[in-house]
Amino acid sequence: MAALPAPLPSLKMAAVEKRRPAVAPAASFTDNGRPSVSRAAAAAENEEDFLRQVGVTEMLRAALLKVLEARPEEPIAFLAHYFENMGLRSPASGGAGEPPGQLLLQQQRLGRALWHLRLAHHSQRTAFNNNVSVAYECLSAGGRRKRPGLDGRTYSELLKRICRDGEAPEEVVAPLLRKIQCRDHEAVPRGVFRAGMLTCFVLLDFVARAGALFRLLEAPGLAVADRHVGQAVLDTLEGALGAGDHTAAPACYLEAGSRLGPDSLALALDRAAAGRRPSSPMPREEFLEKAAALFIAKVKPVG
Amino acid sequence: MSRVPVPCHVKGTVTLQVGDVRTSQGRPGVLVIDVTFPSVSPFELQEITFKNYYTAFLSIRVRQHASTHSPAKWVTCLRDYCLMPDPHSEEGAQEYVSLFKHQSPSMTFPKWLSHPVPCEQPIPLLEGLPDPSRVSSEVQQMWALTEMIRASNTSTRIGRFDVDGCYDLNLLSYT
Repeated sequence: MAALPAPLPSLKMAAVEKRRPAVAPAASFTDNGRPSVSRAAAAAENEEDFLRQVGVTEMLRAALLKVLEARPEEPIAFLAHYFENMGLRSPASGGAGEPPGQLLLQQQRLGRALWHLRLAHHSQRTAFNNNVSVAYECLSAGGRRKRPGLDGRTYSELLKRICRDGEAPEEVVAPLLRKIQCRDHEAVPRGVFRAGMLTCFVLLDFVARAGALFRLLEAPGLAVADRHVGQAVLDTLEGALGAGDHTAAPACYLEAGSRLGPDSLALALDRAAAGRRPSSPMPREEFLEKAAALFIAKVKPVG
Repeated sequence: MSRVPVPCHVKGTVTLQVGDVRTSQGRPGVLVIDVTFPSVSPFELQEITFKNYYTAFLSIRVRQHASTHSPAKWVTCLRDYCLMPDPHSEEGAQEYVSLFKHQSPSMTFPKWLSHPVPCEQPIPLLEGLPDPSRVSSEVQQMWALTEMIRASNTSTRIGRFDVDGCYDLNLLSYT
């Protein structure tokens, strides 16, 4: 999975700090805009009450819940990113006079949805599904000039962004996008959105594993693998997947397990290497494309 | 150099059996004879002499207390040495057998008792081919990811009513 770009927490925290004092001075003036805050601040017994009344406690609780759900590798950087995103959400953020244009809003929405989608790995299924729901709400929210709902064009753009950030080559993911994309004008239902997001992230994992597999097969020093050896591994995987088409669940797992075990793979590799027929070597992109094709074949197309 | 018989204590034979001793019929084909050397002073074993009684193959394993800081190890000196060319015939069935030091694979005394016979070593990985267990691990993960997606394919329909991209009224289906 693509790593979250983690800016130096100190810089981002400083940016957030700049906005925070806006709350405190307003509390000391009695302006008409915030009567409740100033009155409450005057009545606050101690700092704890004050924090609760201006909503900091609630904000921190939500942030900590997100940390618990996502369990990031670097919690501080995660929190910094979280608060930065929260700042973007408020209308008073940029300080710009006029409201941002449609395109910028669209980009912001996409960015926020992407951020939510990356909080949890797809294997943490409950957390992932929650985040997908939040992302869907974020993208479907109606605006001043936008009707509520997620349109096909935004969905396609989101899919492309995910694959690009996940460092999967375009030729590798293109067949998947063709299968699961919706038409630009279509409204994307929540179920289709969730399936599409899961498929996309799982494909990125799959391509990463295929890359690691290629590194095992490639000739040391070169970026290519023996064609027969590479093809033999792909054919073995294809055979194991094909068994699932015909046989019921437990039997096909057993069969796949025996086909993909080290012993039978060693036999297949040995047979392939012993052929000694001359052939052009297989480059990495070709191996990834062929491997991804095996995955994409099992994805149900939209429609 | 004269040969001196070394005092030894031969224990009774133990038959190696698999399974329940009481129910298995007949005697299996493997018997073990333990021979210990009670004398403490080290010696150089030159020859083993015995009279065979209907044993076809012989293996000899030795445990040598080499030095104080290394633990005693079992070493196979002789493996499946043939005493009877045809186990079902009489040839060699009751012969006197002498086994000499030089009959074991290595020539000198320390090597003979400290290095195992070559066939005990594991088969090395094939040259030039990738490690099958690592390849298997990656391929199995790829299979699992694909199966997961196959199982989670949604049944939600997007609600298209077109026929091959065309929404012409005359072509719309009634289903």
